[in-house]
Amino acid sequence: MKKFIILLIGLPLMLLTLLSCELMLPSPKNLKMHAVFIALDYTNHANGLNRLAGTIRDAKEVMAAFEELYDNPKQDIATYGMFQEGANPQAHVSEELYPTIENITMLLTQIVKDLGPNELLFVYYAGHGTSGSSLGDLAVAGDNPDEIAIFSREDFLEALSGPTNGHIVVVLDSCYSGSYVQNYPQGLETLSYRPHITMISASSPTKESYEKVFFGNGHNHGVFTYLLLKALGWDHQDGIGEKYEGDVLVEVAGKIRKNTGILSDSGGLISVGGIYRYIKNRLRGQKPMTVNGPLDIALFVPMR
Amino acid sequence: MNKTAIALLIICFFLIFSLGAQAPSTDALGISLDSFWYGSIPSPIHEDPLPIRSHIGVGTTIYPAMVRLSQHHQLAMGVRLERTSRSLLYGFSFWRPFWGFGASVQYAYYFDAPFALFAEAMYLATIYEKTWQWAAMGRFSVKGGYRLTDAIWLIFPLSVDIRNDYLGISSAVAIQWIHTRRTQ
Repeated sequence: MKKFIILLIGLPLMLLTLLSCELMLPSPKNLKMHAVFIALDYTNHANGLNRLAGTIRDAKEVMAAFEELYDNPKQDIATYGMFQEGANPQAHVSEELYPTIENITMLLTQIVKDLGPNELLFVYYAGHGTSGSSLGDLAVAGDNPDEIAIFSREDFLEALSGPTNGHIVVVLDSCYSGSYVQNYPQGLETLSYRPHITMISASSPTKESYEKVFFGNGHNHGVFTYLLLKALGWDHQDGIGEKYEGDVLVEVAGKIRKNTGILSDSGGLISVGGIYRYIKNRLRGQKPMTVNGPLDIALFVPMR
Repeated sequence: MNKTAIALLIICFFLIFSLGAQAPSTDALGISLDSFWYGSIPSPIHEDPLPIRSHIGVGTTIYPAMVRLSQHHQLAMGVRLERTSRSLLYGFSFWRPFWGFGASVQYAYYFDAPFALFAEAMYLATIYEKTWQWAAMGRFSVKGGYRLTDAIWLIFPLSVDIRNDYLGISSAVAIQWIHTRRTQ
């Protein structure tokens, strides 16, 4: 009887523990992030669209932060900057990286298609989200230099929805961007839920997203992105040290401090859930959102 | 989590504590501490590359109402609080950590030897730590127990968790302390 009971208890315990797939299967090595940064300041627009003074700085600082985090031999990052910056934006960026609907779609579709199982696509957008009937659609560059084009939510998500082996994280710092955050299924219905796409939006579907001057020298940021940068451990160094060529920002000020942000209390792991919680606890009025459910994605994994 | 689920939990807590105050039993109170391995089993909607996501966790159950029905049979009702860690990282992905609290009903059969078998049903409210999203969960457990001393039991629970969107399984090691009140 005694042996039988011990066997009854011991065997299932052993079997269950051995089921830990993460321990039994080889974990993917050499993680790689593809990071696409789309930002527009609308300086060149003739049709009265509000200029955004912080979007380019937002995108370039987030890009610099990830490049610094990934600066180690075991991890790799490929960054793509799609900027519409200054009065003559097409002069500062290659033709295929100018942020038109066609170029964004082409780049995202290609990366999604080629994404491997140990690869992550990170997409960051800073710019206007439209109001009116097409709430939250992205205002990107038009074919003519002084026009904008409306990149609809459906078309943007379609560009990310092709078959892929990797994960996609989208961060939107724009008005009404919560309309992009998909609902997690309440049951087992699969309608429109794309588990490989995780999002963080700066605002709810009904809220606007704001910019603010953070330092005395006109150092604007989107409030959401300022907190995102702080979560990543970015030290702004009071915005001192930025370099411009004409009206183009060529060198950002700041660097990662590894004992700050969420790096200090997560063992170095930066996750979508961790960033969302960090920002949500500090941002009033905009109501940032993320996808519910059990799945979370690490944006940075510490290598030892 | 909907209002019905919250109401159900409140009723369970009320019943447990009111029964505990009036229980005509010899065993009056039990406290169990456990640590466990937890496996989340993804559903097809998650399109997860792994069949199971592995977590670890700790929890405690307090049984304020323990009713000894006969020499071999006992019924207990309890409240539980637990924390499950995030799953092990696989590539860039992992499953979120969560907290759970809720009510339980446990049946125990005591053998003549220092062994016992337990069956327990729980209703837990869970909350993901980062997103603060609530979800309800049912848990069914079987446990083998070995009496170490008069008051201390070593218990090995195996559990299945049922949620709307996925299943979970767990195996645990628990220490249970039972305070015996011999007043009748």
